[in-house]
Amino acid sequence: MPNFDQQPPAGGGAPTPQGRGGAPGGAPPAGGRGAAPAGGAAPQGRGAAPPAPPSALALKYPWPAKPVLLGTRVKRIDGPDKVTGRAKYTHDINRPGMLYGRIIRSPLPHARIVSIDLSAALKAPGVKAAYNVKEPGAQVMYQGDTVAAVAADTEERTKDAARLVKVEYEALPHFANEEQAMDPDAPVVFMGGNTRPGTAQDVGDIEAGFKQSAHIIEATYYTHVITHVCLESHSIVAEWEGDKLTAWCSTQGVFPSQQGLAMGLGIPAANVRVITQYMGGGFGSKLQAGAEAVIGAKLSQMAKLPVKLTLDRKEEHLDTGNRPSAGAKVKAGVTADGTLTSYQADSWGTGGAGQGVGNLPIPYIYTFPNRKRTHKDVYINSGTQRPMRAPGHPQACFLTEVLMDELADRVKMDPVEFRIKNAPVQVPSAMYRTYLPEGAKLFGWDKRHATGDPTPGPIKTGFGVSVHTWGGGGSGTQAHCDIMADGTVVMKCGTQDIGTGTRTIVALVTAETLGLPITAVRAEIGDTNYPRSGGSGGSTTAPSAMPAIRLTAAKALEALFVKVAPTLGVSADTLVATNGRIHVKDDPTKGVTWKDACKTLGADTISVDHMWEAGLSSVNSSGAQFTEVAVDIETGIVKVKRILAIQDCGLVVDRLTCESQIYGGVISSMNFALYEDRILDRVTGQMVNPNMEMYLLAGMSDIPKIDIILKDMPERGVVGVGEPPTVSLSAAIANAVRNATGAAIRSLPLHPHKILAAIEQQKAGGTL
Amino acid sequence: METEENLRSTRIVFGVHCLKIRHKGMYVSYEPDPDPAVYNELFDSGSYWCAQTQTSFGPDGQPVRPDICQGGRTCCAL
Repeated sequence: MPNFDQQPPAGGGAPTPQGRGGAPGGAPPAGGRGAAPAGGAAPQGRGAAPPAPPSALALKYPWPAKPVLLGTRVKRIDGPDKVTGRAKYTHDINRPGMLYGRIIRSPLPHARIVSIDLSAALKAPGVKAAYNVKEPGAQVMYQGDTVAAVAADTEERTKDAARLVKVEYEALPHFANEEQAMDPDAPVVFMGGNTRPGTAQDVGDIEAGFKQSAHIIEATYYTHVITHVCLESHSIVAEWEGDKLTAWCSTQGVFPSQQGLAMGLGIPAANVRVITQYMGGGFGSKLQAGAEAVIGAKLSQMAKLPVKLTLDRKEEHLDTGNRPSAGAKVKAGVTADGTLTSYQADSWGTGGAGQGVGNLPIPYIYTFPNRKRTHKDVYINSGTQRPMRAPGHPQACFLTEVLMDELADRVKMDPVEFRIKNAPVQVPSAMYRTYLPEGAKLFGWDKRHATGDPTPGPIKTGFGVSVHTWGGGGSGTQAHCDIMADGTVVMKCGTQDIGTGTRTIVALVTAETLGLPITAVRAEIGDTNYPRSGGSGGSTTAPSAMPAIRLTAAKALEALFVKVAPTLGVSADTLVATNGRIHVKDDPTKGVTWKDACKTLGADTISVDHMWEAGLSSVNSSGAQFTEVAVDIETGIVKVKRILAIQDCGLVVDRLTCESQIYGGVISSMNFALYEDRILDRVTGQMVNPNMEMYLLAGMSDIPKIDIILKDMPERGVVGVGEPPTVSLSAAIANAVRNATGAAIRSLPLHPHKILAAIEQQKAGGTL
Repeated sequence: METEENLRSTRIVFGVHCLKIRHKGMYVSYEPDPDPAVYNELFDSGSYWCAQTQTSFGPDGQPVRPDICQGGRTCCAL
């Protein structure tokens, strides 16, 4: 057992940093931008561009050194609305005369549409609109591809009418998996070919590195396709008033949806208002309006009545995105003392029909000085991918971290010690050399046995670890603050709450800045009538919105100080706002209550617009996750016993919602490892489990105790945490299963039959 | 020898790529890194869609990707 108390010095002891900054296909930024005080220091790590320097206003209004609310555990302000049903999700919106829309979808994975007959559907009771989404002659490229749409006055009549739509197809060749598409004898199904070469990389001297290696592993690793499984399915309620559309959308971006609807319908964006007050899960799949929203709006336009179009669970699995597969045939070397040498990989992956896996950042995080890579995007006839929580990272993490444990075994090093030895240079956004030993101590890593649990009996236990990184960052978001004469404070921002607590932290930062309780602030978000903000994705929401909220509130407060100062006989710049009062900074007795201060506005309202400025947020974060599992080697069932997640996220805005994000991310990663799997029939190309019965997800009893260690770094400003914690647990679980069983675990998901097969393979001689 | 070849420019270039191509990085509030490699690492998930169809297929029924959403394609808007 290594002594983790003896850590390498920060920034020292590391092997040579990888090539140039951010090589495509290489490891993610180690340190990268903003790896020091927010907006301050020079970039570190992979040569990324330096962050913009802090603005004058950000320097004037930095995050408070002694906050009242920031970093505390503030309950969601909309929690009561959610648990009582007052919160209105898109599906809860009902408009007078509203119709229900439904999409007719292809049952075949690839076909040419010969004919579409809507006549019977149009004559059906209650039907008000129907149209061809695709015309005869067009091709459908996957099961679930859109063909036609219908709207009627009840859900039942709409379903009946949809069944009356007659579509004749001419079946065409299709691919249900990557092997079929990569077959050199396969027909060309996709424009440009069934595969496409991706980024190639050749850094250092790959062969010289292998010659230096005492051990070389050659193996193939693979992660599967999963779907987003949003509990609230994709939906829209569309209502027209003349040529203006109001759309209640389940979306991660009201402004992206506004543009998507406008371009999809061919109308001015200014004619589209999108509202999303509450949203029940998107995970990247709701960053675009989606065909379903355009179809719902078009049905409404045709019928001249409001239309609600809500996808069912099967449609969600088939046509609202997925996480691409990723495989890699890897050859990797290590010296006798445990220093990584060369990494060679031929990778591939599919994001469905015409979409690949995109950038796959392997080798993940660790420093191989010599690297050679080829990549191939593979197209199959399935629903197309959409961004899904840290795109590319969960796959790359698994492909690399499982290899790391195997290499550690070859040199007989502890996996934590091996990782520390090969971790990138330590910077505030890449703290692996700190988090790994700290986590090991907290987790009781010294109780880990060598690979293969030697204890008798069918239940074997094992420990696993993995690390991760992500970018995030912010810019651009605008906000508007009203302070009214009765003391009311309203903060408006066109961001949206996708279930993460954004509404709460908008109110929290406003209240903190104005010296008020959070209940004194009304946060209004989720509407394109509010100041512009980006979509909630890429862990950018908090780092984009919170600086905007902080500075807008500060500017509004400045304006209020100007009104109040004469009544106190002082200069405005001597005033501060704390604890519901405005008073002289050096004389708290000389002041007035917030309400009395606002009375000085008379008939006026302070109304201030401002936006994000550099200096209050940063990009990049790092974390480590540990887990212990129990594996029944007779049934192949894996039970996760406990999890430890260490995560940094700069300034913690609300500790409670921050931890909630980490819980969610960790559980998501556990689902990726053990349960979720989109299964396509290899002959018919149809999904065999488009539901929530055979498409498995963890239940409450499957989820173990999860300990979270939040690493506060307030000097970095706000850093997003939506994606990082969802990356690495799946790899840690695989490593723990290997530690328990002694069997090589090189592909996901870890379903029982695969565990048993791996154990049998190991008994037969293994692949190590 | 140290070479790196980007065989697939995933950064959308005005005047080269169709103006209707979309990806995640276009819709989140983040300052694009001037280094395309860093930018791509953060936001190139390989997921592209058409703003007009709101799917990963263009108006002509063919896939949406930077390598094929360029001039010469009938539905391409430059």
